[in-house]
Amino acid sequence: MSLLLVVPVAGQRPRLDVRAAVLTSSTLVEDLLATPALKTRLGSGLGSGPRAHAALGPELSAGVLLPLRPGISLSGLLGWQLTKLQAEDDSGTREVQDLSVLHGLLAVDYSLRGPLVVSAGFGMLGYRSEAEGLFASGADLAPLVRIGAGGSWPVAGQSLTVRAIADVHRFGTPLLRSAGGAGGGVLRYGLQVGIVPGGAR
Amino acid sequence: MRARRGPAWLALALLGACDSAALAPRPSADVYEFRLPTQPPLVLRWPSGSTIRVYVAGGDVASEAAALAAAFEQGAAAWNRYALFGEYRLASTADLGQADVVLRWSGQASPVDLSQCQPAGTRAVTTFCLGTGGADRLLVFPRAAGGASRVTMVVTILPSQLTIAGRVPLLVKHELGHVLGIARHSDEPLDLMYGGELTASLPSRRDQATVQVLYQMQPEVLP
Repeated sequence: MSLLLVVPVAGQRPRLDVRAAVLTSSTLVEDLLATPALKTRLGSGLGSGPRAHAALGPELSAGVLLPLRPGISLSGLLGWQLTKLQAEDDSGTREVQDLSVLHGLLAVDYSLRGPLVVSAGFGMLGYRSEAEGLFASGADLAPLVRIGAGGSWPVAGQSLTVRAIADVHRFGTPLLRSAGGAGGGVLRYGLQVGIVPGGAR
Repeated sequence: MRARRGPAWLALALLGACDSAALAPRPSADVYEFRLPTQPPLVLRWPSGSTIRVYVAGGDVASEAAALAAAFEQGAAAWNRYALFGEYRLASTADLGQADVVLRWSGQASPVDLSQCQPAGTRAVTTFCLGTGGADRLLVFPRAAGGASRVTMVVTILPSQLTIAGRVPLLVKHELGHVLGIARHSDEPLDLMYGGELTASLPSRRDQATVQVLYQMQPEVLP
């Protein structure tokens, strides 16, 4: 309940919160392609169908951190990841098109024992790409849930935090639906380094 | 009770992440025969991820050259739209030395030597021949003026088709389906790859399914 009140710690002002990460994703979309009847008709030469995911790529996010209580803080962040849609099938792996992932996030960090920090948050996320292929008609904006865990250390008066983070969200595009497909879930995960200038505890 | 809603919501979100977005399997009836009419039938297609470069030889008449170039752009866009996983990409090139395919008007000088593998069609035809060094590659058309070539397919369109509105773009779209490796005709009049009088202006659901299945087949003949 106390989290919902968002009362900052007395004397603590909002601080800049800057984070850099490298993230990849689980399968964004797969093509189930072959029915048993089609496999029977075309024989063993028919592969299992392609799938695509967001390749490992850098993300930068920035926002404001508000200390709520000692050891608890709330961050509001906007983030931008540059990546590529990467497809794989029986022929191998190939890059399909450039992809940007934009998100807005509200996250709470809890300091546990020592340097340990866990975080949880929610927000919205959207994929942006050139209007071709899966993204020919754009992509849906989707809610996301984030969890993270790592450590935080004071470094030269700054607070440096290293976290493993994981986002769960839905993925779908109008083209996917018009082609008879359905949206599904995605796990987006990676390692993040954050710095809060002047934020050393 | 309220305290339990948060974790339950998170659990639902995590469960939702288990199944990724998916395109449904294609019914067998949506995929027509696309293999080369050899015995046994062989799968002809470009390697996955290929950019198939097409040299548009529109000739000396500016209006005819522009019409053929525009028809190619329309046709390439129509087929590229369904390469959802980057299986192929049709693109034009102004460099004959980089071209995989030549698109030309019949009756005009060809930039490649057709003497060993001659076009034999009426309004539009895609010509290729199995290589003599092995049946798993197509014959390369030498450049007419000499020099290195990698052209393995030639699409020929009859210029008189320009007198029928919308005809040339339709024929080029159909022939580009053959360029991608659809080596047969559909028996469904609503398909772009129908073997009779064409009515479809874009690849149909069956054309899409067929080209997508084709690019998940192990290729047996490479252009």
